Amino acid sequence: MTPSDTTELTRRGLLQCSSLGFGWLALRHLLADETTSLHPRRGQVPATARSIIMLNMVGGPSQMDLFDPKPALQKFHGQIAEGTFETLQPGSETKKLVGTPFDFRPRGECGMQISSILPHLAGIADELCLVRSMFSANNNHPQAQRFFQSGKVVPDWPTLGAWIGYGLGTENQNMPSFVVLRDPRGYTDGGNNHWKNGWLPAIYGGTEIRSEGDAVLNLKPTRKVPEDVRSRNLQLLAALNRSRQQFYLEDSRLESRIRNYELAARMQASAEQLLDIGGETAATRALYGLDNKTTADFGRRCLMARRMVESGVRFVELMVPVVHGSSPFDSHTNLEPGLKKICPMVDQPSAALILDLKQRGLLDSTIVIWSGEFGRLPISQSGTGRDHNRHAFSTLLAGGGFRSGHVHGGTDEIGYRSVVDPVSVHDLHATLLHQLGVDHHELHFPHNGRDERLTDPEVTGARVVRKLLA
Amino acid sequence: MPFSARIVSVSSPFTNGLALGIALLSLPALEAANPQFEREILPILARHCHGCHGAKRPQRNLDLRSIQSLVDGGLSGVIAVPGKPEQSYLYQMVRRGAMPPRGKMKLSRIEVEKIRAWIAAGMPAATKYTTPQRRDPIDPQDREHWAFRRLAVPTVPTAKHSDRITTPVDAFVEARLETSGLLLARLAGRDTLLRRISLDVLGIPPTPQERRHFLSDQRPDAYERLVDRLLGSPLFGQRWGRHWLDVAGYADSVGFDHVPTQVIMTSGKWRYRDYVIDAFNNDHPFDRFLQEQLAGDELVEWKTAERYSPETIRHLVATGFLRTSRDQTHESVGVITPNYYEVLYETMDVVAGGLLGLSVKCARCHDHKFDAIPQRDYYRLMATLMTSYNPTAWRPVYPFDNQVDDRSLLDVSAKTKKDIDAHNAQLDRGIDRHQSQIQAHRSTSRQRVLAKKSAGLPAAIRADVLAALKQDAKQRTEIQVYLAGKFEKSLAISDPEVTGELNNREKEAIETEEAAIATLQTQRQSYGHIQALFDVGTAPTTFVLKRGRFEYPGPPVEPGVLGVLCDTPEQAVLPPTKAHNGSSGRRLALARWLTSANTRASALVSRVLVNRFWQALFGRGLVVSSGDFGIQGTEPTHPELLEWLCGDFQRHRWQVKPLLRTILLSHTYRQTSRPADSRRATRIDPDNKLFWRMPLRRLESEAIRDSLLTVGGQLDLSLGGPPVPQQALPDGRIKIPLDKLKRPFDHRRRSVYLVTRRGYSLTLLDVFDQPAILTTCSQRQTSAVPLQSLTMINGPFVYEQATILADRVLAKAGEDVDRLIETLYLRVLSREPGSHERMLCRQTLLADVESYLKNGNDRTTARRQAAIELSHTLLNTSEFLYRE
Repeated sequence: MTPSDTTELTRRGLLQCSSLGFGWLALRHLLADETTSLHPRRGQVPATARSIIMLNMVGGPSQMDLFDPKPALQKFHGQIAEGTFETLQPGSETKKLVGTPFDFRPRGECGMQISSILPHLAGIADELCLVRSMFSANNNHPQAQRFFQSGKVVPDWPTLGAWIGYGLGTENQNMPSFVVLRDPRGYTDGGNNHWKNGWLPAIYGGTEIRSEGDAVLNLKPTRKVPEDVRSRNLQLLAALNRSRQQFYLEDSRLESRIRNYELAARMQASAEQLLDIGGETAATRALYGLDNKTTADFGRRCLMARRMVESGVRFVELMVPVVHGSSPFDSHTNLEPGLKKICPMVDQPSAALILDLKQRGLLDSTIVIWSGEFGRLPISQSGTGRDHNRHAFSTLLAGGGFRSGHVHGGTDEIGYRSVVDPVSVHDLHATLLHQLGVDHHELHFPHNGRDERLTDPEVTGARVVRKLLA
Repeated sequence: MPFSARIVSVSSPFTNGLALGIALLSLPALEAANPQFEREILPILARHCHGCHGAKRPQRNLDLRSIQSLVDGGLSGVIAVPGKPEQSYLYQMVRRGAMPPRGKMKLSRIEVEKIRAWIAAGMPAATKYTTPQRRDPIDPQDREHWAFRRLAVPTVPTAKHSDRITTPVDAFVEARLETSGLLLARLAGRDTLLRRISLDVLGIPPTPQERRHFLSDQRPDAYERLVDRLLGSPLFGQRWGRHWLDVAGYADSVGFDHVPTQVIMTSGKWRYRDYVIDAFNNDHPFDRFLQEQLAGDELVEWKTAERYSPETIRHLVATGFLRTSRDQTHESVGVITPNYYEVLYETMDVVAGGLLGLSVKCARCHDHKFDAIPQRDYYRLMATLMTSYNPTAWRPVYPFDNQVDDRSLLDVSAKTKKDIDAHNAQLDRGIDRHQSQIQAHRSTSRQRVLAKKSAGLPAAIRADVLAALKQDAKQRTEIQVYLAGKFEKSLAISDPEVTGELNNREKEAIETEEAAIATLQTQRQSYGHIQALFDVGTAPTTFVLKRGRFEYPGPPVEPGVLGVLCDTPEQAVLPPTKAHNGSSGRRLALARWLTSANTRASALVSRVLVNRFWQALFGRGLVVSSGDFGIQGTEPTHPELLEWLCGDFQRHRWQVKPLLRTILLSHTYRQTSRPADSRRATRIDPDNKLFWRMPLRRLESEAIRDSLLTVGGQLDLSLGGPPVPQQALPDGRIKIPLDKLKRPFDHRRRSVYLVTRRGYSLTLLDVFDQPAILTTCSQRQTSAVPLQSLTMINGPFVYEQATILADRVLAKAGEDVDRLIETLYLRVLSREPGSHERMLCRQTLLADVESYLKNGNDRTTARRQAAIELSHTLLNTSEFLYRE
């Protein structure tokens, strides 16, 4: 249901058909007042974490080159593989196995193996929970990305961040519950489908906060107006709206529209404050690599993400840098040089974010996710790359009650298929919701005659993966 | 046909080894005219099936040991339909090799054929058996759900307080209100009413002239005249057509449309949008409207037509209704078959959700949990679409490959196309002739220029130089190469030089030729495309798909409809229907089922439609869940009123305008949104379910943009044509690219004419809840997010409209501040300001002028800036965004 014009009208009917579960609580809350629909609320299981930062590594990062060492693959490098491989593009017909050009060795006390191309993340292995047995439903980027975000391969369904805002609201009433920090230079493959509210109320959609220029669309006036004129007209507006509202005292919408103008003003101040990283220490700047050209962009956005979470934003999503194409991890033809370009851009900032959160005592309540939408094939594409592989990919998790220094699940001996303790995207969603205190069975929203859920457990068999939890 | 002959004919391509078997088989078969269960079929079943379907506890309760137990079927229902092998699960399973299961020996092709022939012959057996009544999964009780019953038009009740009852609508509403101790509110003021009805019927506010006209009309039927005038306006179709486009899930783009900066569009898809708008403007009867949209291609002869009449084209364009799903089948990657089925599934959502108000998608994978929609019925309905969305003969929506026929049709017949091509070829020949005349004149002129230029050359070499230049560059002698190299540049002749050298006679001659070419160009004929739906290939068998997955076909089904909307199980199977163009007629049969008089189906269709129209006027339907009329949906707040309106609708030949007229003339519609005793009424009926007042309603995204353009007199009211482009900027905003417009005013066209994309709308529309288009949209959401306030107060578009508005008003009001404020109120809020408002605005305006003067502006600029600010402030009021 929406915080909306139609809301009051259908309240009864909805309450009748909603079970007395979480959805009902969320709903009752929404119905109380349009402007309070983002107020924080609790789920029905104890919450470990309160926010999520998703580092969205669009393109399909190669698991066997980054997180999932395969000795057999190294051993049989250059030999022809048996069996069949699902491919997307031509070029992999020879089925020639390729090992990774990068080194793997045990890291930290836990001994987790991470690739030498990600030295900073490898350096904090003891903080990470590495899932090596993820799998997806579709072998093409847009579909798989949507699947990772919304659990559906079709577009325009609500994404994880939107569901979480709907379920839990947000603690910072001056900011949206779901903030997106994308590369100011452009969109990744898939555009803004990554942060759609779908048919959930618009208030839960991801709001793009820009790391350069105006933080929020239309945050500042497009014209120059003397300050006294501006405030005088805002006063006039408030007075006119107020006098009209007297006729509709029972109707909360006009009241909330008045308050929205106030909220808009508060948002302007908060967003700018959050953007202003001038107050951060030199040590912090160095940690995120803000003074290094390679890491500056992603580092700045990681730092902003920390500041947002610190200020109570519920869900922050960072998109991968797009300077090397809109899917920089999409190593069809340039595996080694491609990874050598993109990994250094995101490695240090990602690790810095986790370290910084830890230093500030925020890591326990913040889940950091580092993941792409699928993995890559163990066989060579055109001699220089790897084609898409939906059957296996690796996802990094940190903080928020996930087991640190832990490796979960595994792939077959060449890394083609997740075979040990496979984790579906729906399982991941269920587990993330669980850590935030939300039972994924209970978070639902009526749409076209069906109570839709993010995980759709009866159809997908989604379950909380307890083995991932501390 | 004798049995043996059939076996032989089917088996003839087989190898010798098999031929022997045939010979053996056909001998006994020749003796008996018909194959017989005990003799031919039972041995096969015993050999392959009895292991599981004959033991003490037969699998799936299916016992194949006797003819009677075979006929009775098992847990999967009836497995053999006498005379219809294609619809018999038994035959389908053994034919596909799905049974016996993996690892067990499959039936030979001869055995499979025997089973087919036996079923086709009517399943003869020596033992007598009885065909059980087909078990109908639908309980008679299911058919008694209020929405599934036939229409029962009630008598109009009499209410006590008759002074507020002007139409039967009011009698129903008032009668219901009285039972709760409430009454209809007084009539709204004429200003409010005019603004309300303009926004509801046309989607834009009235102009001050329209207001003056209405207010000065003292005739008793002034309001009735207003209603008729508005319903007669072409702007009506633009607004109400948009409501229907929501139902159809219409988008101009093709496929998923997920990349902001890239939009694929097919030629002429927008014609469906215009068809819808025209249908509303012409008040095309809705039963006919629905038939055309489902089966326009089966209602007119187009394949062999000599010429397409406008009616032919209209019927073909209408099928665009079935072309709205997110068809990504032009994308030749990965597995393509799932994409075919996605298109079918989404189209099912549009058909069932849009026309029947039922969510059927659960039944894709399993029998619907709440509504009596068995999975079988889902696939029966889908079978009506599968002759045109045929997975075995797919036509992609987008012509991505020259080798593939796409789904578009030309808007002319083959014969006309030939004629047009011939006509244009003839024009081209004529144009060529004129061109060569022009060239001849220019070449004479050129010769003169050359003569002049070469006059300066030494006479001795002049001829040689000219000869060298004339010679083909590759064949020049050494000397010629030298000469050409030396003089080529100085003797080069440009087009302007040739033009300059033309004498008057030549100029005139060329002008004449050019005029002739221009005339010929105007005679050029062209044809466009229609994105239509029509049958392709041979009708495929439709199967119930287990878990909704095409890889796991279950029992086959016949084309049919939802059993719960039929009186008997037999009616749920559609009869073969004669259609034009050799088409299967399946969609036509579906369309007739939906619209034929006095049936459960047409009653439901009417209820869904009438409810949507009510919702479009009041912001809420009589059935609140306008997209769900099933068990899970809400019951109507005024069931008798809904039935009565449906009866009225059908009585008016399914025309929309008389229905709207009935509602618009009612006191219920005309009552005020702010009655005096709202406090008491709110306590009794907080949601205003009983309509004790007119609900306050926020304008939809399109109405907001169109209204913003209207107040400054900017809105372009033209009808139809290709959509106005939109452009996604790197910063995430979406705007209209002014440099890419076909006509200079296109950016001021109504929002319905902007490119409609799945998820990327013009920023202003997007912020105000323009829905993402998935399949069908039965109800718009309206939210209140701070981004809306930011967009209104800081966005460039609103400021631009405020500026235009201020300039217009200043031009009229001059120095008169009161007149300025009054004119602004009339334009923006369609009313005069109250005295308190007048004072507030005046104070602000004068203080603003002083501020601007203090900041060093001259008086004219200061006044203009202050007026812009005031205009901008009025555009920001909630009153502008809501209709009362």
